[in-house]
Amino acid sequence: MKKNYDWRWNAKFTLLQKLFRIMKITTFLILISISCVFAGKTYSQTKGLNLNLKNSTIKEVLKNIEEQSDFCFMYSEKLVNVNRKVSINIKNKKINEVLDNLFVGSNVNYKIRNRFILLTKSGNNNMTQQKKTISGKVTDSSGEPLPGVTVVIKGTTSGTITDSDGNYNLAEVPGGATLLFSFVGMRSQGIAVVGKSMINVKMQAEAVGIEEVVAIGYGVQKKVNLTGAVDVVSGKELEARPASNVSLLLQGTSPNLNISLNSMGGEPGAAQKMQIRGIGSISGNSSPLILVDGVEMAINLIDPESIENISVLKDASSCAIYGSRAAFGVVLITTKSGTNQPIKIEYTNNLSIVNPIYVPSMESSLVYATAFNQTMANSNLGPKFPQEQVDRIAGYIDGTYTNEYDVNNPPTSLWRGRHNGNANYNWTKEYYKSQSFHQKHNINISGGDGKTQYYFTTGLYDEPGLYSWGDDGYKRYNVLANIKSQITDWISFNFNTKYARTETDNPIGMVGLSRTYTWSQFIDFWPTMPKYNIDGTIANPLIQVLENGGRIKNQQHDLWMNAGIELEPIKGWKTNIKYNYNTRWGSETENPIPVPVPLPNGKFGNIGSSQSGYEETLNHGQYTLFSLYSSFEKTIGKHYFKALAGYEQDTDFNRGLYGTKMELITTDVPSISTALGDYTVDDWINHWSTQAVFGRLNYNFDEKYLIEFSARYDGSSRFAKGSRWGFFPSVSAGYNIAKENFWSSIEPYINTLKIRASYGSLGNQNVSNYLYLSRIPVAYRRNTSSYSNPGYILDDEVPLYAGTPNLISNELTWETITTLDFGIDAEFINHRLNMGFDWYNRKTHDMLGPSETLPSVLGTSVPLRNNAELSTKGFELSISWKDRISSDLSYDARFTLGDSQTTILKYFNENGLIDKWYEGKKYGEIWGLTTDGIIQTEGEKMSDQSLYFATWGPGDIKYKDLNNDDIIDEGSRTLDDHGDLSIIGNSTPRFNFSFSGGINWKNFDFNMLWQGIGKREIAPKSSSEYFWGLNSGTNNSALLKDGPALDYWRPADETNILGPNTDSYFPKPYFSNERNKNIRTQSKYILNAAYLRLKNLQVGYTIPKDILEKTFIGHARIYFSGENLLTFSKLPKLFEPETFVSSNPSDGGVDLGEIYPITRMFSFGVSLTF
Amino acid sequence: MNYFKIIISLIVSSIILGACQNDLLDKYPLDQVTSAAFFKKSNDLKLYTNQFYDRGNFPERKLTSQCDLGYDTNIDEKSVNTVLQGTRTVLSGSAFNYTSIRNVNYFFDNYKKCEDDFDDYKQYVGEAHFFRAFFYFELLKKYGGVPWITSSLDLDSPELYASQDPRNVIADNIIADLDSATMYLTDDKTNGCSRINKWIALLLQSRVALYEGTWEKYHANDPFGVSSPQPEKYLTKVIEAATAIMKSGLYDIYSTGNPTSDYVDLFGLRDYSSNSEVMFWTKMDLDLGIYSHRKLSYLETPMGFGLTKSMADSYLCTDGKPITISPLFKGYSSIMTEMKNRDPRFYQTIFTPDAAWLIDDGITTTWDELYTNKLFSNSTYACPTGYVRRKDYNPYTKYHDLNFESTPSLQYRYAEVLLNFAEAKAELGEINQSDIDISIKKLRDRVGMPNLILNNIVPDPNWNFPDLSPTLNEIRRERKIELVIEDLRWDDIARWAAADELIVGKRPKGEMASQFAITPEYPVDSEGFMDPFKKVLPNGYGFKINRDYLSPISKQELKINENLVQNPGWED
Repeated sequence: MKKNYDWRWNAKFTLLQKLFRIMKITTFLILISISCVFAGKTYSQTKGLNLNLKNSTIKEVLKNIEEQSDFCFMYSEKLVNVNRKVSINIKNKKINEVLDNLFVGSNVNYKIRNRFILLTKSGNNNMTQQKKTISGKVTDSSGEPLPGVTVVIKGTTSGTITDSDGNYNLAEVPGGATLLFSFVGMRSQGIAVVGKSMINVKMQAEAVGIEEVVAIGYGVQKKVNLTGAVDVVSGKELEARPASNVSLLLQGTSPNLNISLNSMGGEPGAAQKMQIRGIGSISGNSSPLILVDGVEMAINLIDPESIENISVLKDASSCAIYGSRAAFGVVLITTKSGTNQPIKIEYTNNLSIVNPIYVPSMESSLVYATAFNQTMANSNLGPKFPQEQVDRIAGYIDGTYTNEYDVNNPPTSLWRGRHNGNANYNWTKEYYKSQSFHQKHNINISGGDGKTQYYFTTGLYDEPGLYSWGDDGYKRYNVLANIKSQITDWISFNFNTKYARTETDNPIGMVGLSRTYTWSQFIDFWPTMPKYNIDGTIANPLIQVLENGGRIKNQQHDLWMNAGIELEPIKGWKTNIKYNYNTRWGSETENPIPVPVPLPNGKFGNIGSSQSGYEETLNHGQYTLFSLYSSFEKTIGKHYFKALAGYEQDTDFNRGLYGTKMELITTDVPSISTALGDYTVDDWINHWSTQAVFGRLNYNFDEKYLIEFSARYDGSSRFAKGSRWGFFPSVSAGYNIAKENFWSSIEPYINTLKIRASYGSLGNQNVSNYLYLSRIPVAYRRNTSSYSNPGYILDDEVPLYAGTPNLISNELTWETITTLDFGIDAEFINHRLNMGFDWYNRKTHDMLGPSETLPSVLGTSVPLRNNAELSTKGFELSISWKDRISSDLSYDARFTLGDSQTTILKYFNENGLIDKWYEGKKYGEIWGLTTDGIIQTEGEKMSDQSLYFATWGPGDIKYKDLNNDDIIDEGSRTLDDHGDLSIIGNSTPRFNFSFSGGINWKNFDFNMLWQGIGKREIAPKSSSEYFWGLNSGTNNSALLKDGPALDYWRPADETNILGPNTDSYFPKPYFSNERNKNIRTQSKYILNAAYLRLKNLQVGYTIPKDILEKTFIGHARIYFSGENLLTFSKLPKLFEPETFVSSNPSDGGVDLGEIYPITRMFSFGVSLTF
Repeated sequence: MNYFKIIISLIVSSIILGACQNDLLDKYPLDQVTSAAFFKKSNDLKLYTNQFYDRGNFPERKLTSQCDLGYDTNIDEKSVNTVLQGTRTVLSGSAFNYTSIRNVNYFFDNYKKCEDDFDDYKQYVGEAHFFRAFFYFELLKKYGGVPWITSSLDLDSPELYASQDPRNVIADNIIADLDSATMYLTDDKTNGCSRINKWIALLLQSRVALYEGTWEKYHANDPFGVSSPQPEKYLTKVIEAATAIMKSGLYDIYSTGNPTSDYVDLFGLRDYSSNSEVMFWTKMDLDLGIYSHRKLSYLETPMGFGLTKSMADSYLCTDGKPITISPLFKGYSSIMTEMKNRDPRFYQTIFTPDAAWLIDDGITTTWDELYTNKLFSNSTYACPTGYVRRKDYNPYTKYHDLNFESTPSLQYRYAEVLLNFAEAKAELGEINQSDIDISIKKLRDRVGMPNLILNNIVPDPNWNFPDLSPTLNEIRRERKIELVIEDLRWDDIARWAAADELIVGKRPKGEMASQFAITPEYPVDSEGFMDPFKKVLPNGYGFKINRDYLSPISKQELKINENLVQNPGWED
């Protein structure tokens, strides 16, 4: 090592260029350049520097400059005496002036190259050619003159700056010299002066990314040297958007990072589903690993404002170092940290007006009555609404009948109101407000003094909900502190703490049912439902329970303390020791209370809980992660090596306590202590651990040929002893063709070109704890307040009882996921056009999934087995363009496209049952009949459809006889014998794409983001009320506007108000089991759920410096931002494409469309730096 | 200097690494016990058997469920029973539900681990036998023969691919399980809402044996019969079991000496703890958070349900004669006329205008209010037959609630024992008047009806089973009347193979439509009786007597286990 220093710094200047490049590769420089790349946008060689240091060493002065600017100094302490003490007091001086001042009278030369300032001993320059004067003009690509461009003779400090017309004049230039032109935001250019006295330069906007450094597992990597599939989202892309959490903000930012709503839709505080590269496992869990500053954390607990950048690791090689938890990709989030600059205070806010993107409207009561009665008649049943009631409805609508129900014959309960009432309310619309107001505030303080850097931030997010009755809402509070300190020159210490608190507050809704059930009732209570009893009290039971039925309050806290030490005893060998501790705790409380309501018949009835009570669930979790890893890197000539080895272990411990007690003394003070009645207590405790050793080896030759090996040996407590450990290796390689000499002629057109390949395997331990053990669930007491599974009394008490253990499989082990990935990265046209493409094939072996079906006499579900295999293939493409037309105008655009398609490769299904997985089945496949139209005339020629019903007539569906046997049947629903069934669609979302663009003009900036799904088909369930409208019975039917509900078959001679409709979308409806014949899964009712959405549109204005100078504000920006502004979809307007899909019962929803609406947001915000 | 740093770094790292635990990955459950640790104490066995008392097994009897709904005595205007309609398809065929059987078999696999004295836990062993019989009986009724499995199976157990055991083998095994149950269960009467006792097991045994005995007899010549039927064996068992209960002297017919209300009162009581007739019942207690869901509240109005004319016509006149013969029958012109001089169970089962509808703070509103002002005014007051159910109702509105009632539900009552006994005796052809006197007479005495005198049965031209003896016809009538809306009707029709007499081509009818203030919007037949399913079932029920007595086995199940045989009539 010592030797290294020596030859480096005793070498002649001609060696410096080379040295420079070598040095750049050292970790030292990588780290420096991180701070350079990300430090901010204020970099300028003309930036004013302020220094006031007394009796400080040169070293300290230089550090100080680094802190307040983006300059990095490079020097050898052997050559430059940086321990010389000076006192310096300057204000708003340019770097040249500062350095001149500092080194006046010393033998130190400085050379400014980009952001790097090289300090050397003077007198080393032995170029003694004859000198001349060079002049010229510098313009940007559009020919506009560029003032302020630095022109330096390469290898010296002599230089000048262009004037306001872009002209420069530089004397005493040696004949063999090269002039370096540099300007912020532009690519530096070096031009040899040989024989010229006039050099005009056209500068090109600099494309970011050339020297970009990317966070990867346990380290960073220059983007150009990456061999895996890694995408980066900068924190800037998430800034100033009103969306509530990080996952919503990430939607559309990286191809194949797919974020979709979960079954809670747009409810305040709802989480989203995240997936990288599609389905990974049929056992369901294929979410990526989310690491925030190296530890696994819930993504939505992060304040978007505190994010510095996000790396999305997509292939096996980039994830392999994380082993068993990273099988389906990793999202690495790095939070902001302090920089070496004086204290900086920043305040940002965002105030938004939000309104539901779409809330359905009901058809009128008269339409309901007509359609219901017609459907009853179709089923040979008497009318649902007798004529007398239809008359009342008509009278109410035209104002001749003022009561909302027949007062002489009032509904016997609120629940009966819809059956017997005659009102005409647009109920679906009444439950949601048309707007709500959200706000976000964030304040952060950062800075550093060279030894210690700090960043503190605190944020608040307040999201009130949209309920018209029974206010709901979500709040999040965040605190984060990052501190890093250099203890000695080889030991640094960092401490990072994060705290998040979330609060949700919602009405309980209907008693004994899940909270979401209320959403289904929003559309189930027809417009006939009276709003008021004749005495003026509220007659809608939903309003009553929402307002008065008690609250569910949830509060969660998440606290992280992460401490680390980095040792670097010798240059290039770094050891990190990290200890992370997380404690999370929270509570969910419910205080169900009786809701005594006045009934239409003048009596009182309780529609709330049977008794008042209090229920509290406390949860507490602790997680510790300890990791130790050590890396060593060395460059020998053009060979670069880096090795990393590490050990990691983590443990999670979870527990909870549940208690409930009935009969509150007063409902105003709900608690266990203030309740007098029966109580139940229950708890849960569980824990798991993993242990791992891992390593990575990098080698590259001249940054041209790159290769990387990594591996992890992982153990998990979730598996039985013999099958606990797994070894997961990976390899990747890259070839930077553009670095080859022969490329130089192509370089101006294709600036960089890299091809990459990787292959590796990962484990998936995302299964429940203790699956390999047979356990008896004991001491469980029935939830007494559940309608579907009520409790019971035995010997005058609600008994505890033990259950029966499930069958277990003792050979349970890891799923193994292997990914093959090929990628190309290229840049064209002076780095303005940037393209990345990856193709991958990810196979999941030994997949844990629902096993083969066994005869039902088994009496229980067959345990999961490692018996299946699937493959997901796809690609990611991103194309971006970035250009600067003039110093006032720049723009950029990016298009991304990702796709994934999953095929089952192995599955035990010897009979080839099509309702199960089978080899070759595409994930999401929809089997069904093919529709052959609607029967119009009695006795029309058709196949024998008696499998579904004995009689068929006009208005019924005619199915296509695909196997030409004149009988519509389903065979044995196997691949060999599936009758007239065929694959009629696929529900997998395909071709996720996004388009983003931005323009900066003077102080204005404009950004937008479009996001969409290119292809997706949905087969609504036969029971979907939203879709079919007229469902299996009146109680679960709804006629909503903007949808197809009324487009059902009515005969040509129909005389009711709806009239004839023979060319209809839906068949003849029935409220009897005859309906089943028409609603088989079939081609006619496959919906195209593709969409395109304008996720965000933003216009900002940065207040000019000269205005701010008079204030104490350093930087100010105001902006307007809109979220979810436009949506294009082929679905009927009633079906909002994102919520429609996520409310599907197969995805855990209540029913298609029955979900909390998502919102459109209009917001205003400011960002101030002091 | 560098060496020092290196050594320090190495030491720190190795200390930390050395501190890592070796057993870190041994993580066992903290809040659950493994099955190895369970079943050691009799209390474990008790906890385990507690699961079978779930309300899934003992549901509430209310307006919409557990009340013969959809069969020939009680209908729902909104849906026609697909079994009777004959419109089931194999598509809707289900796989066998063996979940409960596995749960109870798991008990048998493990209970011998118990270290306590057998006497301490024999009750739970008895309960396990009882419940296994209970669960298999459900399968027997639905599918006939099924595979008889007595241990919890593993993934590779050969029994998974067993074929069905013949139905009589299943029945024998159920009866044997119940024999074991009676051996171990307590013979204490209990309060009826605690653990199963011996007498309940015997009641179930009499029910099973009667089911199988009559099934083998009446299905002897159809595809559902067994190869060598032994009805006598089962019928003898019925008599044995029933006699044991009758001889125990623990139970009796509930009566307060008030024939006009004792029958209906029995079903409307709030507590059966010391009731002589009710052997097992489901208790509700709001203080414990256990409630019945708007049971009485729903029974206030017909809500689209109605008893049938076939039911109403079954009631004899007070002279003990059928309406076809008796001069006391006054015709159908109004419900008040129709009920006149009838078996008091008529108006204790079906509402008549003079009965109390709502008693609120001492103010009584009679059903007349409903008959004259409300019936058929809207869907709440719709009744497809006009015969609105009264049984199980209690008019005191203080017990009615929109959601939470503490109204209990009956599960087993002694009357069934008497009826099983009489029927088995009659089927065996050995019934005599003294048998009637200790069974049927008790039921008739409660409501003040004359006894059934075997040698003086008046022939009824409308007997449902003209081919059978008058005694059997009258015993079946008595059963229909006494046990109406107790969810036993379909079992009776099935075991008697009576669909050809009662179902095929028939439609449920109602009262004379002309008697109502508001004209019901239902079709009427040629005689003016309401005929609610006239349009839906133009040809009456399409029940297929060679198919519909049993349920189909799903195609998938047949495919997975090729040793299974599809039930008759459901084959492709």
